[in-house]
Amino acid sequence: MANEKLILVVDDDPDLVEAISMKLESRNYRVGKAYDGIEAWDKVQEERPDLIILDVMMPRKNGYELCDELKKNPEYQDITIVLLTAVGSAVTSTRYTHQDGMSTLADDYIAKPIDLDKLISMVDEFTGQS
Amino acid sequence: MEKLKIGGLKQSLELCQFDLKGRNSSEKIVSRVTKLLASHKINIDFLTCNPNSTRYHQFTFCVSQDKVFDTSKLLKAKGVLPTGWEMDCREHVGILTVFPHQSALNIVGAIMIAWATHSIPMYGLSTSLSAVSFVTDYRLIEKSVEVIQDSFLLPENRSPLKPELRYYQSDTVKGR
Repeated sequence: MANEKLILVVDDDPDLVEAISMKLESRNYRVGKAYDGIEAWDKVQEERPDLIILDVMMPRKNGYELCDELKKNPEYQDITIVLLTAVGSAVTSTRYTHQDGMSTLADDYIAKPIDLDKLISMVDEFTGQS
Repeated sequence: MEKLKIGGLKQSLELCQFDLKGRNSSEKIVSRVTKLLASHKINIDFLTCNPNSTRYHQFTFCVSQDKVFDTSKLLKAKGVLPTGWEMDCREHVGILTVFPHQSALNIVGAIMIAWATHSIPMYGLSTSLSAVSFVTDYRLIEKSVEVIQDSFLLPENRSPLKPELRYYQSDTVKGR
């Protein structure tokens, strides 16, 4: 039976988007896909998702920026956001300083490399699926 | 002719391509080389293997352009490559990734034709779960994007994704 919950998966790695989407679809979620923060913002306005799986480091608009915009917008602030963070990575750009997902306004985070089963359990928990 | 639809394009930063070729099986060499690079914190951006050729075995990979010296030095060290294996190094290349392919690999043929028409070289290609990646000259990567934009239907507001940072492996990993 089709699950009516819509999950938006946002990452600039198309293979990761596809892998997460396949796993979610196998759990009967509806899935939207976006490859950067700007496209994700457009998708949110097109159809409001129940939960967003959001990568942090993306070109054009990063995950922190989008997360903050959504959580500060009364219309979208109750959308659950799970951040994908590369906890162990050192980056050379000052634009991206390391932050733990929990220090943002996101509802939760999961570290890359992703344990897909753990991510799906997290999504199930937030959406009330079992 | 109707244009094929694609979802987006992604460019790499400047890379260097290494082609390793030899007559004996490449399986152990692939394992040895990838472990060697990993132990020196050199990331591999692209990897293809051709292990079943009757003539020779080939193993191709790309690393960051700023790792070309380190990588060459590691590969030239005694015992890394077996006798008879050759190493070619092509500097200043870039990868253009097209996604999603939705298993419609006529995209590959269409890009080959479009690039050939504009004299854009293709040094390698590989497919993954949802994407097709092509290796070309880094100095021609903007032109290669323009050719694809002219030849395919892309969604509005889908400028190519360009990397804004380079990932390096850290010595320490923070836990949750």
